[in-house]
Amino acid sequence: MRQLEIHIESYPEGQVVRLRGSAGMEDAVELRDILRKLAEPSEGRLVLDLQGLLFAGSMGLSALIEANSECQKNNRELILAHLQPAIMKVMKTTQLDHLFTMTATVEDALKKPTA
Amino acid sequence: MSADFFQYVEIPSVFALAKETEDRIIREAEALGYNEECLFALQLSLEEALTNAIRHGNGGNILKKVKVHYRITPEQVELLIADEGEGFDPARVPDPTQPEFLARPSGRGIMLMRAYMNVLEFNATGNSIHMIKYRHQLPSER
Repeated sequence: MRQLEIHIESYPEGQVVRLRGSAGMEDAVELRDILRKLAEPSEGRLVLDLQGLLFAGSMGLSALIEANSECQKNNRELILAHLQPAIMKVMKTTQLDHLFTMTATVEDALKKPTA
Repeated sequence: MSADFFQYVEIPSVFALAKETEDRIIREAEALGYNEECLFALQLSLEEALTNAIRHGNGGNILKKVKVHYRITPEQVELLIADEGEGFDPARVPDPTQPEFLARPSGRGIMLMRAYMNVLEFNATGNSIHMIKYRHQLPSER
Protein backbone atom coordinates (compact mmCIF):
# COMPACT_ATOMS: atom_id res chain seq x y z
CA MET A 1 0.00 0.00 0.00
CA ARG A 2 1.29 3.45 -0.89
CA GLN A 3 2.05 5.58 2.14
CA LEU A 4 2.39 8.84 0.23
CA GLU A 5 0.17 10.46 -2.39
CA ILE A 6 1.60 13.22 -4.57
CA HIS A 7 -0.60 15.55 -6.62
CA ILE A 8 0.84 18.28 -8.81
CA GLU A 9 -1.10 21.37 -9.91
CA SER A 10 0.01 24.30 -12.06
CA TYR A 11 -0.90 27.94 -11.41
CA PRO A 12 0.28 31.18 -13.03
CA GLU A 13 2.49 31.78 -9.96
CA GLY A 14 4.10 28.35 -10.09
CA GLN A 15 3.49 24.73 -9.23
CA VAL A 16 1.79 23.34 -6.14
CA VAL A 17 2.73 19.85 -5.00
CA ARG A 18 0.24 18.42 -2.54
CA LEU A 19 1.65 15.68 -0.32
CA ARG A 20 -0.72 13.43 1.56
CA GLY A 21 0.13 10.60 3.94
CA SER A 22 3.52 9.57 5.16
CA ALA A 23 6.96 10.46 3.74
CA GLY A 24 8.84 7.56 5.24
CA MET A 25 11.60 5.21 4.15
CA GLU A 26 9.53 3.51 1.45
CA ASP A 27 8.41 6.65 -0.38
CA ALA A 28 11.25 9.09 0.21
CA VAL A 29 13.26 8.06 -2.84
CA GLU A 30 10.30 8.52 -5.19
CA LEU A 31 9.50 11.85 -3.52
CA ARG A 32 13.10 13.01 -3.95
CA ASP A 33 13.10 12.08 -7.65
CA ILE A 34 9.79 13.82 -8.32
CA LEU A 35 10.76 17.00 -6.46
CA ARG A 36 14.19 17.11 -8.09
CA LYS A 37 12.48 17.01 -11.49
CA LEU A 38 10.03 19.73 -10.49
CA ALA A 39 12.87 21.92 -9.20
CA GLU A 40 14.46 22.10 -12.64
CA PRO A 41 14.77 25.55 -14.27
CA SER A 42 11.29 26.92 -14.93
CA GLU A 43 9.11 29.94 -14.32
CA GLY A 44 7.46 30.48 -10.97
CA ARG A 45 7.82 29.13 -7.50
CA LEU A 46 7.46 25.60 -6.17
CA VAL A 47 4.98 25.32 -3.32
CA LEU A 48 4.73 22.12 -1.28
CA ASP A 49 1.32 21.85 0.36
CA LEU A 50 1.97 19.81 3.51
CA GLN A 51 -1.51 20.00 4.97
CA GLY A 52 -2.04 16.29 4.38
CA LEU A 53 1.45 15.20 5.35
CA LEU A 54 1.16 13.43 8.69
CA PHE A 55 4.62 11.91 9.01
CA ALA A 56 8.13 12.60 7.70
CA GLY A 57 11.29 10.86 8.78
CA SER A 58 14.77 12.09 7.99
CA MET A 59 14.67 10.47 4.54
CA GLY A 60 11.54 12.47 3.76
CA LEU A 61 13.17 15.61 5.11
CA SER A 62 16.18 14.90 2.89
CA ALA A 63 13.94 14.96 -0.18
CA LEU A 64 12.69 18.42 0.84
CA ILE A 65 16.20 19.71 1.55
CA GLU A 66 17.52 18.45 -1.79
CA ALA A 67 14.60 20.07 -3.62
CA ASN A 68 15.28 23.34 -1.80
CA SER A 69 18.96 23.25 -2.82
CA GLU A 70 18.03 22.44 -6.39
CA CYS A 71 15.53 25.34 -6.50
CA GLN A 72 18.16 27.74 -5.14
CA LYS A 73 20.60 26.56 -7.79
CA ASN A 74 17.98 27.27 -10.45
CA ASN A 75 16.95 30.64 -8.99
CA ARG A 76 13.57 29.36 -7.99
CA GLU A 77 11.82 29.71 -4.68
CA LEU A 78 10.58 26.68 -2.75
CA ILE A 79 7.94 27.32 -0.08
CA LEU A 80 6.51 24.86 2.43
CA ALA A 81 2.86 25.61 3.18
CA HIS A 82 0.37 24.53 5.82
CA LEU A 83 2.53 22.26 7.98
CA GLN A 84 0.79 20.08 10.53
CA PRO A 85 1.90 20.65 14.16
CA ALA A 86 3.77 17.31 14.36
CA ILE A 87 5.77 18.09 11.21
CA MET A 88 6.43 21.66 12.38
CA LYS A 89 7.80 20.23 15.63
CA VAL A 90 10.24 18.06 13.65
CA MET A 91 11.26 21.15 11.65
CA LYS A 92 11.87 23.14 14.81
CA THR A 93 13.71 20.29 16.53
CA THR A 94 16.10 20.00 13.61
CA GLN A 95 16.11 23.79 13.08
CA LEU A 96 15.12 23.23 9.48
CA ASP A 97 12.56 25.99 10.06
CA HIS A 98 15.59 28.31 9.60
CA LEU A 99 16.37 26.75 6.22
CA PHE A 100 12.95 26.76 4.58
CA THR A 101 10.54 29.53 3.72
CA MET A 102 7.19 28.58 5.26
CA THR A 103 3.68 29.98 5.05
CA ALA A 104 0.42 29.19 6.81
CA THR A 105 -1.49 28.43 3.60
CA VAL A 106 -0.91 27.62 -0.05
CA GLU A 107 -2.66 30.87 -0.98
CA ASP A 108 -0.16 32.82 1.15
CA ALA A 109 2.69 31.01 -0.59
CA LEU A 110 1.37 31.83 -4.06
CA LYS A 111 0.75 35.48 -3.15
CA LYS A 112 4.00 35.99 -1.26
CA PRO A 113 6.24 38.67 -2.81
CA THR A 114 9.31 37.20 -4.43
CA ALA A 115 12.23 37.03 -1.99
CA MET B 1 -0.58 -7.13 22.79
CA SER B 2 1.13 -6.39 26.09
CA ALA B 3 4.23 -8.41 26.97
CA ASP B 4 6.66 -8.48 29.85
CA PHE B 5 9.15 -10.29 27.63
CA PHE B 6 10.93 -9.13 24.50
CA GLN B 7 9.55 -10.10 21.13
CA TYR B 8 12.05 -10.67 18.36
CA VAL B 9 11.98 -9.94 14.63
CA GLU B 10 14.89 -10.49 12.25
CA ILE B 11 14.68 -9.04 8.73
CA PRO B 12 16.96 -8.67 5.70
CA SER B 13 18.07 -5.13 4.90
CA VAL B 14 14.95 -4.27 2.89
CA PHE B 15 12.95 -1.08 3.52
CA ALA B 16 9.58 -2.75 2.85
CA LEU B 17 10.24 -5.34 5.55
CA ALA B 18 11.54 -2.71 7.95
CA LYS B 19 8.33 -0.75 7.33
CA GLU B 20 6.25 -3.84 8.13
CA THR B 21 8.11 -4.26 11.41
CA GLU B 22 7.67 -0.57 12.21
CA ASP B 23 3.91 -0.78 11.48
CA ARG B 24 3.54 -3.90 13.61
CA ILE B 25 5.13 -2.27 16.66
CA ILE B 26 3.08 0.90 16.21
CA ARG B 27 -0.14 -1.10 15.93
CA GLU B 28 0.65 -2.97 19.15
CA ALA B 29 1.38 0.28 21.00
CA GLU B 30 -1.81 1.81 19.59
CA ALA B 31 -3.81 -1.18 20.81
CA LEU B 32 -2.50 -0.50 24.31
CA GLY B 33 -3.82 3.06 24.13
CA TYR B 34 -0.61 5.04 23.56
CA ASN B 35 -1.55 8.55 22.44
CA GLU B 36 -0.83 10.14 19.06
CA GLU B 37 2.20 12.03 20.31
CA CYS B 38 3.80 8.85 21.65
CA LEU B 39 2.95 6.93 18.48
CA PHE B 40 4.53 9.66 16.32
CA ALA B 41 7.68 9.58 18.47
CA LEU B 42 7.84 5.79 18.20
CA GLN B 43 7.30 5.81 14.45
CA LEU B 44 9.93 8.49 13.94
CA SER B 45 12.52 6.74 16.12
CA LEU B 46 11.86 3.32 14.60
CA GLU B 47 12.14 4.85 11.15
CA GLU B 48 15.48 6.48 11.97
CA ALA B 49 16.95 3.43 13.71
CA LEU B 50 15.85 1.00 11.00
CA THR B 51 16.99 3.16 8.09
CA ASN B 52 20.34 3.78 9.80
CA ALA B 53 20.75 0.03 10.36
CA ILE B 54 19.95 -0.77 6.72
CA ARG B 55 21.79 2.09 4.99
CA HIS B 56 24.76 2.83 7.19
CA GLY B 57 25.15 -0.27 9.36
CA ASN B 58 24.53 -2.96 6.77
CA GLY B 59 25.43 -0.77 3.79
CA GLY B 60 22.22 -1.76 2.01
CA ASN B 61 23.42 -5.38 1.74
CA ILE B 62 20.20 -7.41 1.79
CA LEU B 63 22.12 -10.48 2.95
CA LYS B 64 22.85 -8.70 6.22
CA LYS B 65 20.17 -8.78 8.86
CA VAL B 66 18.57 -6.21 11.13
CA LYS B 67 17.56 -7.62 14.50
CA VAL B 68 14.73 -5.99 16.43
CA HIS B 69 13.83 -6.82 20.02
CA TYR B 70 10.84 -4.98 21.42
CA ARG B 71 8.75 -5.01 24.56
CA ILE B 72 5.52 -3.08 24.93
CA THR B 73 3.93 -2.71 28.35
CA PRO B 74 1.24 -0.27 29.49
CA GLU B 75 4.03 1.93 30.90
CA GLN B 76 6.70 1.96 28.21
CA VAL B 77 7.92 0.75 24.82
CA GLU B 78 11.46 -0.58 24.78
CA LEU B 79 13.36 -1.19 21.55
CA LEU B 80 16.69 -2.80 20.80
CA ILE B 81 17.77 -2.59 17.15
CA ALA B 82 21.02 -4.12 15.94
CA ASP B 83 22.71 -4.41 12.56
CA GLU B 84 25.62 -6.50 11.28
CA GLY B 85 27.87 -3.58 10.46
CA GLU B 86 31.15 -2.56 12.01
CA GLY B 87 29.50 0.14 14.11
CA PHE B 88 30.43 3.77 14.58
CA ASP B 89 31.09 6.35 17.25
CA PRO B 90 27.91 8.40 17.72
CA ALA B 91 29.93 11.12 19.46
CA ARG B 92 31.64 11.83 16.13
CA VAL B 93 28.41 12.58 14.28
CA PRO B 94 28.31 16.37 13.78
CA ASP B 95 25.49 18.48 15.16
CA PRO B 96 23.13 18.87 12.16
CA THR B 97 21.80 22.19 13.50
CA GLN B 98 25.17 23.91 13.08
CA PRO B 99 24.95 26.41 10.21
CA GLU B 100 27.53 24.57 8.08
CA PHE B 101 25.50 21.33 8.30
CA LEU B 102 21.97 22.70 8.16
CA ALA B 103 21.53 22.24 4.40
CA ARG B 104 23.00 18.75 4.41
CA PRO B 105 20.39 16.20 3.39
CA SER B 106 21.49 13.60 5.96
CA GLY B 107 22.73 13.31 9.54
CA ARG B 108 19.56 14.04 11.55
CA GLY B 109 18.53 10.53 12.63
CA ILE B 110 20.36 10.35 15.96
CA MET B 111 19.31 13.86 16.90
CA LEU B 112 15.65 13.07 16.22
CA MET B 113 15.77 9.85 18.24
CA ARG B 114 17.37 11.70 21.16
CA ALA B 115 14.69 14.37 20.99
CA TYR B 116 11.70 12.03 20.77
CA MET B 117 12.68 9.09 23.03
CA ASN B 118 13.22 9.12 26.80
CA VAL B 119 16.22 6.79 26.76
CA LEU B 120 18.70 6.33 23.92
CA GLU B 121 22.00 4.51 24.19
CA PHE B 122 24.39 2.68 21.88
CA ASN B 123 26.47 -0.38 22.63
CA ALA B 124 30.25 0.06 22.72
CA THR B 125 30.63 -0.93 19.06
CA GLY B 126 27.88 1.37 17.85
CA ASN B 127 25.97 -1.29 15.90
CA SER B 128 23.13 -1.68 18.38
CA ILE B 129 20.80 0.96 19.75
CA HIS B 130 18.59 0.74 22.83
CA MET B 131 15.62 3.10 23.20
CA ILE B 132 12.74 3.55 25.62
CA LYS B 133 9.62 5.67 25.27
CA TYR B 134 7.61 6.16 28.45
CA ARG B 135 3.88 6.36 28.14
CA HIS B 136 3.72 9.36 30.46
CA GLN B 137 6.07 12.30 30.26
CA LEU B 138 8.56 12.71 33.06
CA PRO B 139 7.92 15.76 35.26
CA SER B 140 11.06 17.39 33.82
CA GLU B 141 9.63 17.08 30.28
CA ARG B 142 6.26 18.71 30.98
